[in-house]
Amino acid sequence: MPGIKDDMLPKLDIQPPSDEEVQAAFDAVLAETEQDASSLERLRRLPTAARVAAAFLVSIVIAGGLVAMMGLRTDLGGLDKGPLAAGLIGLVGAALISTTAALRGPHRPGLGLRSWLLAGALIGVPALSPLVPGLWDGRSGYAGWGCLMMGFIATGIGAAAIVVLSRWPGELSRMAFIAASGGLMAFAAQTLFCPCGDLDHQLLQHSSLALLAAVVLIGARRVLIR
Amino acid sequence: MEDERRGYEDAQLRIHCQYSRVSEERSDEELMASWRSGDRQAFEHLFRRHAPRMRGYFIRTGVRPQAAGDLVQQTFLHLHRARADFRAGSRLRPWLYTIAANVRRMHFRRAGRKPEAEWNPQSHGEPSVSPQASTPEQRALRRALDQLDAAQRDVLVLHYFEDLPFAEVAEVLGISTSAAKVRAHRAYKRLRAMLDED
Repeated sequence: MPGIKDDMLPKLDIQPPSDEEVQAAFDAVLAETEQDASSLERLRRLPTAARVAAAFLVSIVIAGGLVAMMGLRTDLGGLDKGPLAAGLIGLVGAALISTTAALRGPHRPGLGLRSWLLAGALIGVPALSPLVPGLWDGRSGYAGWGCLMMGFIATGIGAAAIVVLSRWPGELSRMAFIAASGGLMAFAAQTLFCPCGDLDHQLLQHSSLALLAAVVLIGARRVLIR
Repeated sequence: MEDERRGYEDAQLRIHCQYSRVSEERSDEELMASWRSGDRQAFEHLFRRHAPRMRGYFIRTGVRPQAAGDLVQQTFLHLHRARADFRAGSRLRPWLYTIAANVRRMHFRRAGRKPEAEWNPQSHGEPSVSPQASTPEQRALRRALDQLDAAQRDVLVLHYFEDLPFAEVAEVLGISTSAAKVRAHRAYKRLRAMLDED
């Protein structure tokens, strides 16, 4: 767009800092980079792809480990595997997208409204998915507290792994992605473990974990802003 | 004693000239590549090249000068942390300004406030911004800038004051190049209208 930049506009009179001020500022930055070389800090300095892979791996291992420890649901043989498999792949894929969005560094621009729409979809759509007929079919009956404990552990550890690896966890939309990632993996694990097809149980104890985690994280954001 | 002092100053001057030559010869991206492979001096060159300008960016976008220095340091700490993500062929300046824009946003969020709409350096007692030395034109520009909405001001500051091309402004703000041009066009038009009124 030639001509748009009007050089008639005067420059503002902001005086540059002196050489001594610049040197002092650089020394402070250098001291901080050299002092803070803890293991956590070194993890955060890894490339983003490596951090995403590490956080996702932790989530998968925890969710898979919990299912292996507590056992697969007993009614799998009698279920239509198509919708179940599609649903599980969708959950794991959505968790990967959430992890990637949560671990975007501050060198990437904010996603603005798109970010909120995506975060809302990743939290809200799975939360409502038990309402889709046939998607999470199962026997009726209540699976007990083990199901909820499994959900809390998988959500908590999955979200904590992302917080630990995050360079920028204090932003609200990133917190929503952190919560979505933990909650989605927990939901997938619960779906493999819990045979309960009761809608209230599904809505309250399975699919709303991401929403609950989002509320907790946003409540604790003052601690996360660093 | 005097000779010793003069000798020291000469040595400092030589180091400064040597630094300036090295710094001017190498592009940001070359320095970044050196820094990634462990050359700490390359980091210093980058800091010296960009920190003063970065401070101006923060002040022009509503940050108080006392806080601007801290935000410059935070920006470079984030750059240090993220340097493994810098890819060959990328441009450094949009990267740096994206970090700065995010740092600034977080600064205002943490402080629980928006950029000050009417920031008067004289009443805030800012020694590094000298209103006494500024011309009426410059003061009018500051007032007009303050009256622009944040989206327009962000584009204008990056394009006009920081000399970023539209493609890089768009990259920093996460918008399309055409959206950046449209915003800039409107911002320049509004700014000119406000300056004409003055």
